[in-house]
Amino acid sequence: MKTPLRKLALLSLLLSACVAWGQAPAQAGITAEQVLDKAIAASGGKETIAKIKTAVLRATMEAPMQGLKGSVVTYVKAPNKIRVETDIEGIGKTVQGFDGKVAWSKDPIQGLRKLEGAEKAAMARNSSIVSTDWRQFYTKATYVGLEKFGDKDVHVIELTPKGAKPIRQFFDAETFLLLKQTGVQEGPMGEMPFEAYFSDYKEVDGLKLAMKQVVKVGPIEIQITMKEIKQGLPVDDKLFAMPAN
Amino acid sequence: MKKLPILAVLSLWGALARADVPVETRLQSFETVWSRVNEYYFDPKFGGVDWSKLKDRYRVKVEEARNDAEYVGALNGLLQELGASHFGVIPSSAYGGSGAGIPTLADGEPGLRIGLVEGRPTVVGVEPGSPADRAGVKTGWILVAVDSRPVAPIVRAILQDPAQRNLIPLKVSSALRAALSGPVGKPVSAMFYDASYRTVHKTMERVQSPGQVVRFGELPPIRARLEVRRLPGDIGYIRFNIFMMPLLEPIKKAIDSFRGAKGIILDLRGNPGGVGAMAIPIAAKFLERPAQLGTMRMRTGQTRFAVNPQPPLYRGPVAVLIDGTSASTSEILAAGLQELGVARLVGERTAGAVLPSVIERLPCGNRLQYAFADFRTPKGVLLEGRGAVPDVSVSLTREALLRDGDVALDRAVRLLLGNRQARPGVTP
Repeated sequence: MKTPLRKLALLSLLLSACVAWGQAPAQAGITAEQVLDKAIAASGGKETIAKIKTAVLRATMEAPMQGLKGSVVTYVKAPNKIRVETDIEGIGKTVQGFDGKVAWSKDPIQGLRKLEGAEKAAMARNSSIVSTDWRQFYTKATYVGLEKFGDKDVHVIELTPKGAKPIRQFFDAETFLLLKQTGVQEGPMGEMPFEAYFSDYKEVDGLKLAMKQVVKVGPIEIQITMKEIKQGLPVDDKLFAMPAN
Repeated sequence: MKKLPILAVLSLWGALARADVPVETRLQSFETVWSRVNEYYFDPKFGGVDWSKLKDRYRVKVEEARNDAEYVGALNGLLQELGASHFGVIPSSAYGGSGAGIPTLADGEPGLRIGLVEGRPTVVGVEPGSPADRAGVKTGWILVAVDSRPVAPIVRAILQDPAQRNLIPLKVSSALRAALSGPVGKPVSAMFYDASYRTVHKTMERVQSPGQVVRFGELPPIRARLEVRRLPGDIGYIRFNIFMMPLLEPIKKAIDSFRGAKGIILDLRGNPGGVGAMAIPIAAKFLERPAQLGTMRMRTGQTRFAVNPQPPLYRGPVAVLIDGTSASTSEILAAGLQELGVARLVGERTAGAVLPSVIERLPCGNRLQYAFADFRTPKGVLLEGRGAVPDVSVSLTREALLRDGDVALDRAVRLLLGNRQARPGVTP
């Protein structure tokens, strides 16, 4: 499981676990599927991930260069429910949710709206962070090659979500932990390229989680620092349902 | 993360009033300034400017600067080579100190708005109940001097500056507002020419501007205020001085409160912009179908200002008051509503300072504002350097100001009262 933090309207899917099945021919002695399987194992393994029924994640977020601060609280419930509350000083609170059927967003700019298309698909992918069956979300996984990321070798995998543009994931060749992800955020406001970086992995209840994430969109760099992760808490289904107004 | 167009006027601020910044820190800051533009300027060709070549030239100027004023001047000189709005260095003193020639939260004002009318600095607005109002200052008077210092050199310097001529009204208004500002409680004396060109001296108290203090990232703290009233003829009037999120709900409520009114006037004169995305929910109160206010284009990627209707809607006629001091988000909203057939624009052409930007802290403590995108209207019109063009042009004259006061507002009221038919695409 990775942290499914979701920020402002234009940032969404980048922080999900995003492991998919591989079907590409082997290169550098390894296939995309093998890398993704190893990534799941590195995160704690299928059995550990499958034990997660609910999770509540609390993090701080900051765009230090621009002096913006805020918080993010994420509620997850297996198999496919998610709610993300983002509160940023000077902007206000954004809440996004998916109850397994309906994806929605409520923010000060766009108000309450039902998400469709690529946005809904992204929410559905995010909601399944406690799943290891990623085939339902991706049509294709390709091994791109072995690259350098800083002083580390990384396996680069390209994943093609259903009805959306591909993303690339960069896995540490030694630990198989996700270090970087790139792609394009799609939505009614357009397409925005993003880069996300994952670091400071720590073990929590048997899972290896990135405690720090840095997301870059244009000149904005957002740092997300995990403060608390709790599993097994009772989480009401009503939290995930689209509000009336 | 969406990012926001911020204040065009901030790029006009320049001087410093702190102890000199060490050369090493200056050079670090210079490197940041150059690199940010190099990486994020929306036009990879920099509008024909050789950005790499400029680096060496301005680095020498930064190194050789004899004081902080020259140092900041060198940074701003580099940025001004781009010939675009929303580029500038904001002195750290704007964030709570004083003495930089910039009104801060600690400063007070007499309640005057000065604009350039027929080429002269003229009173275009007097806040009701303000010290200026109580002193008997009238619209149409010409401002001659502040605390015995003539203002003509300030105006002349701006008029003679060949850079960004479209920003002259905004620069004059900002500079003279700064000249009239000062510590709360410390009176300011001003010399005017009245209606008969007689010299009039007025001493006015400086009082804290009304409104709530708002903060957003590295933007200097600002007092945000909203004025809502019902004008004779059952016209709703809404004026706000900046686009900041704490004002959003009150603005939406004000629009809702005028649902049965014969028209609504949005007064964006003197509004330099703010949070760009805030134009979206305001427009959403007037639109019956999903639409776009425009598109901002970055070096890579673009963002559409998509608007979804947010009921309850106002379906009656709308007028937006604009002038040369309406900038940035004000222009996005005005031009968008105009092109979408929601509103008619009344007044003067806007500033043409419409580049989405961010503000970052530099190692020296000053802040850098830089644009990372351009902006085009729904019909693809680039607003930067052009501005929003009024449907009903009301050029201010001293004579009209003296005789009628707020001429543009009167014209907007008459327009709405004489134009009761439904807007295009809107069910009455």
